[in-house]
Amino acid sequence: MKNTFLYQLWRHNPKLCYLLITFATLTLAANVAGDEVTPFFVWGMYSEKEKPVEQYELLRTTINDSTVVNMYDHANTDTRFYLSAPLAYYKRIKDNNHQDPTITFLQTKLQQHYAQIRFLESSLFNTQPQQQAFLYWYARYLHQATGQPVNSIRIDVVKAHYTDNKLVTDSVYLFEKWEKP
Amino acid sequence: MGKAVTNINFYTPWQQTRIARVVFALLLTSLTWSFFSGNLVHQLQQPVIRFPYVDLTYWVMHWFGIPEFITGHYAVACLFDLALFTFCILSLLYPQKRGYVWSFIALYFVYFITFNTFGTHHTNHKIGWLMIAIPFTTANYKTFNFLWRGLRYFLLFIWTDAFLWKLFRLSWLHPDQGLHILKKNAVALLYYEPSSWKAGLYQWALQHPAWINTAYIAGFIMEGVFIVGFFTYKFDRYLLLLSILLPVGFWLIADANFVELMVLNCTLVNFHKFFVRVQ
Repeated sequence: MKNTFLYQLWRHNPKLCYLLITFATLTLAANVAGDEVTPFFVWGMYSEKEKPVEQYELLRTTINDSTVVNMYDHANTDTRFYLSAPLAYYKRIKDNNHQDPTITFLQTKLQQHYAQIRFLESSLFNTQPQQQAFLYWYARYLHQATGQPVNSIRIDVVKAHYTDNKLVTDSVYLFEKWEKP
Repeated sequence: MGKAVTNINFYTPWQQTRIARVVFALLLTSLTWSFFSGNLVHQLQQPVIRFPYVDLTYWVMHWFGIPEFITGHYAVACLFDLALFTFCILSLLYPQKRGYVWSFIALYFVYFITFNTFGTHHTNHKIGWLMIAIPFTTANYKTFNFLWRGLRYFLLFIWTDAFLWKLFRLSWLHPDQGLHILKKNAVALLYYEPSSWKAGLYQWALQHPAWINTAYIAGFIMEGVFIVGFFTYKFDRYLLLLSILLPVGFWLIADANFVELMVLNCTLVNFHKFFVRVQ
């Protein structure tokens, strides 16, 4: 007992000991709840059971009607995130009848109590102004990432499936088109 | 000056300074890498789509409009990034000045939230950078040692937690779990770079799913091994090896980046061997 980290810490500095115990307790609570509140993180990576998927979806961006943006041209995964994740979330919003999926999630969870936090929508989530401004931002970020001035963007949805050893494209259709005003 | 605590020798103030220099040099490298990759706040091009999800810390930050204010004003964003670099360099040069370290942590926290919310993904890999500087906020070398050890437990918790989530969700028993993860995460790479060596690896793995499923189970077991670290320091060198292998495995099999999380591996390193003061 006297050799344990917490006992030694308590002997050295009780306040710090209480602080670390509080941090550990809240982290455990976040894990039990399954939702993290920074800095009480949840590390459930790849623990969700993955179901077999018949067809996978990919968003393909073409700028100036000629250059397909390959996120793997960028060594830093952060750049790849910014090239793909916000676009994917934008599509989720559009697919969700132009409503931020987080709002839908909260409405489902909170039901009639959601009305009490509705006033937060404009400051926390993506409503009309964010959705309308998205492609202008995407053009600016693509300009920076590719080094090319962006006059137009075409975003296609690529549907593909796996064979025994490769990925095969099934269909490609237009999702969004943007031209510089 | 050294004093035993739970079978580990305390780092001296002199060693603490050197460890701080290592940590802040790594932090500076990370920030420089972000700068050249265009991912600092002033380079995010005034992003609009945000993703606080149900994290109340993000809610508070957005409620006060902090991410929007910093990214929305180019001059402010430039000043913010300049301050981030400045306090990182000052902490590197003068690690004993606690004000610099505190300032850096506060700024990095804002960067962390801003980057994640506008990236619409709460990334795990930057958490290491967020936490690693905390032990250097104290002037008392004993307190530093306790915080450093606390951070070691945080690292152990990360992998143990990942193990427990898989254990209780029974995903380790789920048929073809490893293969399904690979298929989901490899789509973009196989589409854009079908001739790359990594695509070749994935194509091979698709034909040999038993290997990829075994790798998933092996990773699950490796995560579980970290529980040992809560009871003894004896095996830290092996845990260090595992905490390098796991992010490499995530990168290879799932095309996921946990590499930067490895900065926390510093807490498993025995710096007594590297920083020996010649009398």
